Amino acid sequence: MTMIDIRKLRYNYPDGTLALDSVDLHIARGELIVIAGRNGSGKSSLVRHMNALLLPSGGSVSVNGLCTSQKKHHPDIRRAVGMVFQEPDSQFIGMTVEEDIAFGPENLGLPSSRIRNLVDISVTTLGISGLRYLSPRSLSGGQKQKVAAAGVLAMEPQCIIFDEITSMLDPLSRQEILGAIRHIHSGGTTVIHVTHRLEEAVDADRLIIMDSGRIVADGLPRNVFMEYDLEGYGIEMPVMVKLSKMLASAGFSGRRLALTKEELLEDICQLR
Amino acid sequence: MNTLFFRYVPGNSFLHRLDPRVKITGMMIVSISIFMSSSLRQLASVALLFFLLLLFSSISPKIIFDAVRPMLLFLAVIFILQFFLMDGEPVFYIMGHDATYEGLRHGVLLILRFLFLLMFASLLTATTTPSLITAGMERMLRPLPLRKLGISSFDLATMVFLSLHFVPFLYGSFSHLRDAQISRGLDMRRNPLGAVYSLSVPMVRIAITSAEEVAVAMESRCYQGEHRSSLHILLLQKKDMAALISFSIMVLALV
Amino acid sequence: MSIEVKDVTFRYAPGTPLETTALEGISLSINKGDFVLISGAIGSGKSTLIRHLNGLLRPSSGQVTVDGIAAYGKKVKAKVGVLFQFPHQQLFGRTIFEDVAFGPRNFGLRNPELKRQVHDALEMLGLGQGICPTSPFSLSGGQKRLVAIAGVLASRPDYIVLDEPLSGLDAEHKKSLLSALQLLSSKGTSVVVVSHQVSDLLSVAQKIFLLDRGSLVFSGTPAEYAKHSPPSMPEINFLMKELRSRGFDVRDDVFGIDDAFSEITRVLGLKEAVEE
Repeated sequence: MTMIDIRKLRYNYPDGTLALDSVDLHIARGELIVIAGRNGSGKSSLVRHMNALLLPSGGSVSVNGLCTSQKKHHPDIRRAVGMVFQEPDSQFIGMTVEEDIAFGPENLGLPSSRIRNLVDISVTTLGISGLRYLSPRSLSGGQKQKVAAAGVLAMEPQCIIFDEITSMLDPLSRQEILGAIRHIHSGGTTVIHVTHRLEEAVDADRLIIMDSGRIVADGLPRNVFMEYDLEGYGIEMPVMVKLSKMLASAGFSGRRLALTKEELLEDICQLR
Repeated sequence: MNTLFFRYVPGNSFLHRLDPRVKITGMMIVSISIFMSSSLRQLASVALLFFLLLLFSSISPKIIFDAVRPMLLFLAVIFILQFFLMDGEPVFYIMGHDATYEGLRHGVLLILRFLFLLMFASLLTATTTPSLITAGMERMLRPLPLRKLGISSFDLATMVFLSLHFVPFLYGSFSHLRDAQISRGLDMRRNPLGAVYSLSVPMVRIAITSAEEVAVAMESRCYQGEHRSSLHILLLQKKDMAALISFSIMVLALV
Repeated sequence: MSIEVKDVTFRYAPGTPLETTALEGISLSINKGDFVLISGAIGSGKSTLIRHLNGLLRPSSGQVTVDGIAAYGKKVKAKVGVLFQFPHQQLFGRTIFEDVAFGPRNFGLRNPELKRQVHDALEMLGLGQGICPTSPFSLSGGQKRLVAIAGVLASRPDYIVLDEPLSGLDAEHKKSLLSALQLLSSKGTSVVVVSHQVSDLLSVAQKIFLLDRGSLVFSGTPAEYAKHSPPSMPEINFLMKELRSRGFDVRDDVFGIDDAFSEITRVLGLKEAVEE
């Protein structure tokens, strides 16, 4: 069931430069999609069309059949598609974690008891119950992103877009938030994860690569890694995948291209 | 690198649990009486009232002091100006200016008034989260015909709320920026104009960018200005009314 | 010629209820010409340590000296250039020239040396003199970062400290920044990168210091770091460790993908193919 339908999308920045060049993309309910590309490839612009933060210069974008060009659809679109941004500090609106998470449901005009309920569920799903009464600004990077994600989750969206949320995080925080994203996805929410770190794509249903405003690859991560020269698009291949590819070209015949160190370890041990 | 600048301090004291509207109204009542005080005796009563309230909150005096500390230099300047610029019976001469008794008296009264206002305000923000203050203000403003002026009470309350949010945030950005420019040899004495310029231009950009980012975040979380509900249910209970009434009586009696 | 940190302890807000010890008994030295990595998780004290290296902060106890003199005052800041996080935020000049010249001018440099040093710094980062009269705010994010770095390099400091310089950069920008830093280091400037990201720098740094909750828990060469196997080590090293524990006879001081590749092919008896 297609949830987000993008046809021939063209988008120009205010100064006239072309950001997106005739993009076609269909996203179904429940998918976990990673969109990768170098800085300036257009990935952030693309996802901002999905919750109507940006409007097309040409072509069309619809969410659940609602076209983004019509302003009256925006509240419904943004309720269906939530977004977590790269800089958590400039997203926090509450003095306590609880109040910040409540901001979204409050905007929907829900009754207080329902809001409290939604906050409870979000906080449990993200595993941050202990942080409830703390100030969001005093938390670690990974915790901050979890709070931001909880704030979006509390509005019960069908789809959540994570826009480069790991680029400023240290390795520990990164693992934390990635685990949280997987958990959210397993609950049925469609997840779109924008990143330039490809290790984060190994679990995805689809890996989409963007370059100069166009989609240049779209398929299973394993296939995309095998068939495309990602360094040419300015993206670093995950270290393990690169090593696997190097070993493969040296005659190492594993069953398939290993994507993680666990898979590579398995393959090497099997060879013995 | 923490600043305690009118920050909320979690707690469960009597003052914490009072309805925010009562606290806001109480703040207004005590502010009026502070402005109308014209004698040290009256201000002493205000001080007594303050310490009484402090007992009912779980807030330590240190927190109040930290909120007031940044203003002390400013208050000292005001005092000195009053001391030297008022006409009256001289206490002593310095560099051709008289410091007068009237100046002394006015100076002391003036800074004490400021000081008490700051102290009560910091007690309010220490025991009430911005979200509660906003909810309280919004409920209080609702009956007013603000819509005729094109202002929605929600927007107004949100604006107050966001300014409270931005103060610590911008202070953090400022001290980070100052570190960067000092490391580039920023020198207030040798090149004051360049120094000020190198701090103010980026701060304005940072403030505007942050405001835009918050606006985008709010929009994507479906903020529409109107029709907001609140996490908090504000119910005026007997204890709230009782507190307000007794507080008002004390203010009238003492001051 | 070195930066010496001797038994430094630093406490924020001493004597108040908010007192926190950010650094505890840290001792390390950075020699002229070294390429050093200081790593640690958030809260390990990295930011506090950086601010001691150029005299922004003074230790609660212990001592920091730069080339023998105490780290305090303007002179030290000319010797030790620091680039903080979010470098694009420090830009303010009407023109790029004005912004990059701010540092050197504050340290007493005048034309014609001033002009030359500004141009050199811009050239070194691949920006070219042509952009001097334009506004820094008309540039892209990545270019703004480069202008900010030029602003620090233009004073020709003997030591340059960079706080998380690679964060948020995509693959190609990371590569070009690392090459520029290596070039600097080869010319005699000490480069100190402070980052929680170890993998990119393991093959470039000569010395690694690891901080954990205010204390120095490791100091040594990258090879020693690989042997030491701390929890923050890169995946390649984890893989090697696992292989060794399963009986494969691989070296334990591997770092970098090429090293790992040769070790694995050696152990598996594969012929090494010519890489594309």
